[in-house]
Amino acid sequence: MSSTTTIVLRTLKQRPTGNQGRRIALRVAVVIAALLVWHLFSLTALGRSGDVPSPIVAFERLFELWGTAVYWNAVATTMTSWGLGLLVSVIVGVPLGLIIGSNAKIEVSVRLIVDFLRTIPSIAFLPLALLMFGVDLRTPVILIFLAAVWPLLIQSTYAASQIDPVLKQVRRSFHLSWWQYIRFQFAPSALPFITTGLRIAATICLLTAIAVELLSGAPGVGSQLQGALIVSQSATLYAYVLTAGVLGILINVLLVWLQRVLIWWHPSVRGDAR
Amino acid sequence: MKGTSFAKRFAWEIWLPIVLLVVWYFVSERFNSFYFPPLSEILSASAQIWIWQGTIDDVVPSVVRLVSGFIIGTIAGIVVGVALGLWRAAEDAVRPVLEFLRAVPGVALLPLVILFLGVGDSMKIVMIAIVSFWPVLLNTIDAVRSVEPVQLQVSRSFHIGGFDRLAFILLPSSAPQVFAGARTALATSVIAMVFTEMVGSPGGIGYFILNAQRRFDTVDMWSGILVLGIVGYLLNNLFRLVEMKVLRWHHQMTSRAQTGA
Repeated sequence: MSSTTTIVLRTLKQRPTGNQGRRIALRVAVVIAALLVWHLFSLTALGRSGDVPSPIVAFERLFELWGTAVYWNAVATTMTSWGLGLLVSVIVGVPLGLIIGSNAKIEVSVRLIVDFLRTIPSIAFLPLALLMFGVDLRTPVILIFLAAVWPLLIQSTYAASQIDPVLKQVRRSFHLSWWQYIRFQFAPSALPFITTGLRIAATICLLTAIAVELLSGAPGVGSQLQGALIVSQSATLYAYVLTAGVLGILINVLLVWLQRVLIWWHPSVRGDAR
Repeated sequence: MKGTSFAKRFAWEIWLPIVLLVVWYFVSERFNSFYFPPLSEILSASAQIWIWQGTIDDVVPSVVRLVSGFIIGTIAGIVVGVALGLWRAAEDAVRPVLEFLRAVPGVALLPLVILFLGVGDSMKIVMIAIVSFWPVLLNTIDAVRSVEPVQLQVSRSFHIGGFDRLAFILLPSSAPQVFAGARTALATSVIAMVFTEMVGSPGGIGYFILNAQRRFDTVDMWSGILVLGIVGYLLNNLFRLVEMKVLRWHHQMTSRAQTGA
């Protein structure tokens, strides 16, 4: 792209879309409108057929649940499986990916296996895990691992294979130590890929944790959802769906923050890329 | 590995899978564990189950649901994505609501959908459509917004508007990123397919695997997992073929740009 188009592009992007106050007012208005639509929908015949509670009822129920140990136990259990599953995936996926990506021959050799294995949804192994471990913390953690390890492994493979060969020569001519190589050459070029993998994996971990709980009845947000469905308490059901959404957002915020800390200098974080 | 002959490359790709299969075959034969039955038994059971009654009863309905949900979700994602991509003020205003809805893990919506639609086919298709909607939507918004501004200016100068602008400028230049979103959507669709089949009414590969476990028939269960892997792998490659066909012009352009011709 020529420099003129870049300038045009910049000015187009930076064109203000209205002042800040108006933007926020609009956003708030849309949130209120969405809640209103939800409320009105709960009154229609279609809404009643699906047992949709009014948002007021759902939020009331959510505030009520905030005072109960059952709720916080469920959230804590889900997040424990999430954290452990993600941790195991990182510990296995990142080094393995870096090894695979460092050598083109290894990369080609494992390609078919990785392609095949990652298309199998980890949920398919839930019956096997239930037979082997029963309703145990190991079941969600292993299934989360089977789902989340792939994005980490694949992004780490990219990370290792994209390293500029010139860096090796630089390392030799400057007599960089092993640690200096990792810190100043390897990490800066590999981390952007790995953090992307981490973000994808973190979302998959939550999804799998809730799916496993919902299907197996293992304690957590997922089994609370299923329980509320069985006894047809739709207010509780919606309160837990809202909880799942909040957890999803918190995980996203956490990961964006982590990305800022780890690769603060990267264009995607500084906002220069666009 | 560039510049090596096709045969050599193929040999490099295939040797490890073959070695692993052989190792799996003999090791599983020797240690006859209940959870990991011999591969020979899995294979002979698979031949009996999936040729062809099982394929007709379970695989075909699964794939039909998967493809219909995926297509509905993708089309909805493209339509809403183009609208929001073009209408910036609206996109900015709905962003918080969109971010929240997207953050809800798709599987958590299952009980809500069951309340509306029960546990039959329509529930399964709607769930698959919901999970494939988000990646396509977000990628389409992004793609439409990053259309080369000069192209848009040119189209304005030549009074190319309405449908022509959509068909000849916006959609072609967004296509690569939309396809990237659809590829993610396909992967999550397969997850949603298995997931809904394990909860919902009988039928489908997911149900087959769960049902085999309930009968403590680990051989059948492994055979189901194997077939699921094969179906997923084939679907992925089919998608790649379609993408290559549709985006042929794009790949030609980028490869030409790279060689500098």
